[in-house]
Amino acid sequence: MAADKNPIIEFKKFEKWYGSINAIKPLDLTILEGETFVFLGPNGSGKSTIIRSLAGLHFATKGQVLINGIDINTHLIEVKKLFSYMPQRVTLPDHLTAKEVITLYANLRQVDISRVDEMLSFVELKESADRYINEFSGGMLQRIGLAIAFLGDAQIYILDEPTLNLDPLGISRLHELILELKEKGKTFLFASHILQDAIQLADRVGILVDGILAGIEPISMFRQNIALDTTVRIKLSEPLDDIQSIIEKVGAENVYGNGRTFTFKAEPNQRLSVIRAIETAGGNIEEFHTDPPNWETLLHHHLNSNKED
Amino acid sequence: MNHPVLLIAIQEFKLNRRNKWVTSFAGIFAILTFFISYFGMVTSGYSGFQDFARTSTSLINLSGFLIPLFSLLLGVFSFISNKEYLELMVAQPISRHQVILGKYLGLILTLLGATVIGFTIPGILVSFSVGVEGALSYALVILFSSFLGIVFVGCAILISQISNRQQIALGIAIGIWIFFEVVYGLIILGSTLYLTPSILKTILIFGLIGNPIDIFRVLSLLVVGGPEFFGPAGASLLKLTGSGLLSTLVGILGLFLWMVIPLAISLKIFSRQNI
Amino acid sequence: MICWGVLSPQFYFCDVHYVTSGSQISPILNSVEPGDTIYIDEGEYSEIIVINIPVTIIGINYPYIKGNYTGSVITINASGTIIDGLKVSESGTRLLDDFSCIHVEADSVTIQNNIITECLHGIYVKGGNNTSIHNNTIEGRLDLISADRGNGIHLWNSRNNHLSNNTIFNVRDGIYFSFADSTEVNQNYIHNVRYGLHYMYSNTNTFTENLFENSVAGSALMYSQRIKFYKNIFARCRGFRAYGILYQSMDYTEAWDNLIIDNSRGVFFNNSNFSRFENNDVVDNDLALQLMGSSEDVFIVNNNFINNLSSLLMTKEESTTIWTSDTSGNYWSNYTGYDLEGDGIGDVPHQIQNVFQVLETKIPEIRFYLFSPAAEILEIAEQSLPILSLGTEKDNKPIFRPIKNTKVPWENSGEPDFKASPLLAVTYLFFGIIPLLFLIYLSRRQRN
Repeated sequence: MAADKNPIIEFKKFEKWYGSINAIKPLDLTILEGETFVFLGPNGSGKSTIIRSLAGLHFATKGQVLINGIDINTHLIEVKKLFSYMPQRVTLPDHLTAKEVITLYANLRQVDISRVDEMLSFVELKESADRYINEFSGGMLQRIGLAIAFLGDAQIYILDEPTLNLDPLGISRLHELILELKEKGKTFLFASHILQDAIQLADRVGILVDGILAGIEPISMFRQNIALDTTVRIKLSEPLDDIQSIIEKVGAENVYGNGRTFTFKAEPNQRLSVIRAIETAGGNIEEFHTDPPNWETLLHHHLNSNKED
Repeated sequence: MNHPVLLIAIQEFKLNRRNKWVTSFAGIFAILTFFISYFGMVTSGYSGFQDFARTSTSLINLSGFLIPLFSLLLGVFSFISNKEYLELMVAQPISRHQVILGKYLGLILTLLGATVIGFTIPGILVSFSVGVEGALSYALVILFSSFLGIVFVGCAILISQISNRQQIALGIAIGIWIFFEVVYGLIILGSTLYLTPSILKTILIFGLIGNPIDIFRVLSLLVVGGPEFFGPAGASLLKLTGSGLLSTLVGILGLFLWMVIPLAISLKIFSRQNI
Repeated sequence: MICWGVLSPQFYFCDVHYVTSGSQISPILNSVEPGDTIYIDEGEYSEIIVINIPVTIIGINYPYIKGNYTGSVITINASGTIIDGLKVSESGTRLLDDFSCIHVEADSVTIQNNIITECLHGIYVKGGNNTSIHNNTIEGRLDLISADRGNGIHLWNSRNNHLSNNTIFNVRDGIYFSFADSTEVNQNYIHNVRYGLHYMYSNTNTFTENLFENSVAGSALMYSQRIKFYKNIFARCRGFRAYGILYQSMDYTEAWDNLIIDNSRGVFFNNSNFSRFENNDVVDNDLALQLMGSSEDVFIVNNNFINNLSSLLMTKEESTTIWTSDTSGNYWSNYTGYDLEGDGIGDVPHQIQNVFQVLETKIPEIRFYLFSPAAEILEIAEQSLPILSLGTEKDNKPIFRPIKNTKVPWENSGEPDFKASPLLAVTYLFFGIIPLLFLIYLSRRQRN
């Protein structure tokens, strides 16, 4: 990344133990100002632990976390002014209205009250502002969480699975907002197990496996790896003889299947060649799917590449 | 008004006030006190001799029974359910102590509301029938009930700090309630069958301090019936403390300790806890 | 005017005298004939009065006789004197001299309709018999400590008196009997005193239909024999050493149809034998009965024991008290047995003391825990599994329902209260509904 940018979040030999369970193995990580860093990993890999330690909900067992050079262990309240946090699953008391909840957090952050209505409009809950929480769906609750997270003028946004319960429209609006704030130089750090979030938003991606940061990749490299691991699935209207050799000639690998339905892997720019080759051979493509890699293949890939390093 | 503790307290009170569980508890409490005071007054038929002390004894036992349960459940539910609500508060630029104190204060407001509603009906009748002096001691009983509630709100917070799973926390809360209501007394009374009187006198008097419900009961009965209500036992209490007022003050001090200690431990635990 | 001689049964002429305000009463008293009547006009009279000639003194609108705190205010040495309608106050305060507002040392004196205040003793009868004391109000001195006060009515070495309808308060003892036999005491109201009635060495007395309230003891019966009392109320005597009725070394006492209500201790027997205690209502006391050492053969049957916090405290492990006659025992509101036979008598004997009441004798501090749920649980456990049982006192024929005894004052006056209860209920509901509506209002404020 650009060398002229300042480090804003630094994990120094950060370790987290729950009793005898080592949830996070020693972690050294520096995140730069204006960067969007995404922790990717399956459930239980330690993403939330790191996020929560940063948000001041958990305390480091060993090591340090610095924000803007300030140790969060000793100056937690100062540091909390710099960031805004959104939990993975938002649950709120039943007997408050959306507006009351958001107003409380606006007051606690000492944000102007007019921001409450702005955020309610942004998350499209203006009509439901005076309804009680117990009438809200999970997605609506998540939107309240977002409204709270983006109330103030924070430097750093710490989001735990922000898109988990959102509908597609909500996801795209969130992406727009994040991109907009990125323009303004805000730093984002979030945990996700949805690759799409990382691909579209991240500058860097950290892959977490069993509490170990298995790899950090710039987004360009990550996209490439994803593409490499993406499986293409094709269904033809009529079976075609010798399909395997036809497409292997133009660079397809790992071809499985019968003459009519088959899968293979190919880099994006080779996929077109494959389609052309099939059409040239007289095949008529009925369905075309791309399946991003599942966690196992992705992790396998990264663990292997780490070993190569 | 913009102090974080107050903001959180008001919000906490607001949401509890709208909680049907809380309001129906206050309602049931009010109905029970209504029946106790009504039948207490009616059955002591001889006109001019309203049986204030006797009715109060029943009311004191009722609140000694229900208020700790109410406070424990209220406190545990408030801290254990909606953890993310708490989490979000902790992630705001305020200290963890402020979060706890805010919720504590809000819970106390709720408790006071429920107590006042529950005691209002007999309160009005009592002041009709026993005059200013009786109404004053009745008001003191309400005050002590509130103290008792505050003690158990503090205990509830401590319970929620110790166990973060709802069922376990509820189990501990009910267990603590049963312990202080029944088991403690059984142990003390059981010991009277086996120990020698000279040791027992000390155990019995100082044993009161070990149970906030006992402190509350004795304190309230002292106010309503005077030390003579306890006969020679009251006399030995006076001998120990010096005067009736001093015994009352010692009792209040005991309740205050019971308020402060669990809360202080909770604050200590919560300030370094992973939530 | 023709008068009926008091001392000698014959008619003779007698005079009527008037004393007007501003003049003195004493000069006239020396110039009257026996049986004369003196009317005293309303006004203040600062003087000490000594009556040596039997007269009738009648006050008009309560003339105010003040003794200036020197000696007894009115001294009656003449038998047959009648004092009516005076206000008498300011007797001397030296207890050794037994100063009083009205001092009687003669027989057949009548004292009625007087108001007596600021006295040491109110009325002191020293050696006179056949005294009638009616309708007087006697108020002692609140500014003195109890031990320095005198008694409301003090009878010494006096017989066959009749005391009724007096109101006595703020004195040491309401009516004090010392060697005063065969005296009737009816319908007096005595409150805020040490002992309402205090008998010492006074035998064969009767008191009925009196009301004793707010005292250390409603009545203290001491060192006397054959006292009978019925239809009295002993109420609200509260304190460490407060009793409804106190028996000290009393033999052959008979009590029936009394109400003993809301006292720290209802009835206290010490060294008192052969007493009969029947058909009384003992209600709402902290402790109903206390039997101290050597109270033998006390007969306690057919009483209602209702809502007492404890029933019985004894200093001995067992007593010779008779709780059950041939046909029935007493009604105990805390009786937990049953009556399958339906004969009105409980089928299992009633254990009068529970384990803690027995223990309380040795360790009074146990009382701090007696009103707790734990104590109730232990009591139930003890009843169903009486291994802990230490008490021996049993009522073998407990009456199953309260005995209806309309002679007890309470059970009559109780009726209007129950009639008034619908009104009370409406009041209750009215004030009950307001908070409940408020509750509903609060919980309904769901949406703005």
